[in-house]
Amino acid sequence: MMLDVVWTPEFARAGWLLDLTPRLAPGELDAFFPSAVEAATHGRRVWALPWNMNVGLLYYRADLLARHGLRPPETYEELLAQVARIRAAEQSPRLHGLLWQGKQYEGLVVNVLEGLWASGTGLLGADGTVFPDPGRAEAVLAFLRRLVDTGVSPPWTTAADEELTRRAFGNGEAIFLRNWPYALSLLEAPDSPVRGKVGVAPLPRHAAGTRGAGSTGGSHLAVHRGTRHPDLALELVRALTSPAAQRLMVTGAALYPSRPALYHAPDLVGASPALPAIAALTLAGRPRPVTPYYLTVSTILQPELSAALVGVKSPARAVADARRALDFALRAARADREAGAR
Amino acid sequence: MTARQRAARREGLAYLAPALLALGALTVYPALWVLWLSLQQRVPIFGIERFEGLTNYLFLAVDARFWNAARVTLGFAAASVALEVVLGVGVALLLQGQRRGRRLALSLLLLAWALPAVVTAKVFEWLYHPAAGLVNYLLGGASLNWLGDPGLALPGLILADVWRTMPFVALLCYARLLSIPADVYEAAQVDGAGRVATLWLITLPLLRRILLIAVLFRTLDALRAFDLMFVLTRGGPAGTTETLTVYAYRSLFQTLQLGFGSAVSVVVFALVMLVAWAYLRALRREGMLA
Repeated sequence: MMLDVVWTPEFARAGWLLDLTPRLAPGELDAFFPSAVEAATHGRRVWALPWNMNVGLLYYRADLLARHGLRPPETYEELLAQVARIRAAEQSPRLHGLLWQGKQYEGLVVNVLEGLWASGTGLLGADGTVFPDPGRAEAVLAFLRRLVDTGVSPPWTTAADEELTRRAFGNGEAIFLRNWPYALSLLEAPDSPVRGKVGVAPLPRHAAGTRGAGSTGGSHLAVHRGTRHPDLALELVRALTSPAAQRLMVTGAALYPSRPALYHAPDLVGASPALPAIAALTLAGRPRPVTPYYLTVSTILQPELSAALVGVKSPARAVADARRALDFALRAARADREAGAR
Repeated sequence: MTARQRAARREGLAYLAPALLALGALTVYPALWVLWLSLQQRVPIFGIERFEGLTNYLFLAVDARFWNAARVTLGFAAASVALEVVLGVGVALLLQGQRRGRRLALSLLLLAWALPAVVTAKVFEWLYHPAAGLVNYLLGGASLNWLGDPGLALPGLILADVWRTMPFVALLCYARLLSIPADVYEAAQVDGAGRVATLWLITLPLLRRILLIAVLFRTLDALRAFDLMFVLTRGGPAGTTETLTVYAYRSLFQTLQLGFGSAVSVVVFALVMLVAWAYLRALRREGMLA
């Protein structure tokens, strides 16, 4: 079965998946992106093979940056300075600075996670603490809200998903865009107004962090525990995740493979020159918290993050409320961990 | 008690038994089961079942989202019921004064009431559409994002609910108005009562009882409001339209906290029972119940 990466630990914990660990050849997983393998692992067992990959990255208007002698920004401060400079020089106040996904849904959680990583912290600490550094989490939410308040990002950001932002950027309405790699082939389509004017770069970092990292996503292929043909099913999973099948994925479906080696295959790079760059970004990417309770975490976070973004709550209030609610909902996860430690 | 009376009593119980059993199986048993669930931590797909007493309720006491949902629920119920009563009575009086087209007006009113809530919600989704919606057009081409703005979403939902359920109040009142004998009004006229005095001293007091019943039904419904929010806003933006039932649904089915979600449901149940009890007391004072 095909699972979004965030589902795998939950399905494994529920006992629905076949444990692939004993059936894998030594080193078989080394050919896949490490973050994808990490996301397929629960309780030190491997429950799925990575099928396709996704990573959050920064699209920029290469033509605009080049015209003003700028390089893709490494920090958000730089990004803000570049937006101000380009907007002033281009005499186009309607040009948006940075587009990202702020609607109340999973995408908002991803964008906030990336902000947390960019400032050197995360959502769950190693011991399972929620928001281990609440001060930085508040700063990240305040920053995102300021993007909208100061007009760097448009007002509709609070209702924006991937497609809405991709279309606006694709129409040439913005300088920067946070999105997934799927957007690239659409932005480079023959009838795209920004064809040949788009570059990809790592997400910037905040002053408090050491580097930005995109969230990884994509799908896994797993086998149902109750299958009568486990070997055959695993053979199918292996065939679908094989280099040959993943080549077809790139050329036929514009999906990104889970094997880094393919991003450097000369014939594929010839057709899509950005592949090596995307491979580097994916290698540097991080999975969302790998826990069977991820959907619970995300569902609880979404309204709190959204409240901070639209100004119904202060960032401090939203972080405090989310912390309390997650602490309570994750008591089952803590009990799991204690049971595992015994 | 004579043997004959006892026999009659047994016979009576036998006749009642099917109804009692059905009621017990369909309401009492699930209610008790939910109460039992609410004292546990339950994550069914992970096979987690732990009794933890009042833990869920203790968390509710400090849960900001729960209190927000409680505020939204009470605000929604109070505003929509108040508007429904005022408009309902107004429409009933207008209907009574109407000479022609009464049938048509009644059918139109019934139509709004008869539409399934989900259909109403979809209609309002279009009416409120930020770019193509009729509401913004009537406001002179405003570009209000009705369902996306934290300050407008709840009023928008209240309006939709009033549109849908005001006919219920209006029809009940209208029926009562028809049954007020004409000589009462004639007597008032003879005594020299003006239109305002007639309305205030005769019509409204005579509507009082039927209004109490209408308000009882509407309040209980509004406290359990779910469908409009679920279809139109999913409780958003930023939880500003999340009622207690929506919160219970999310806890039960989206975060799979069966025990905690049950605790929220129990609170809704208790709230509804409390309000029902208060109304029933009021009705009893009116001498409407034996």
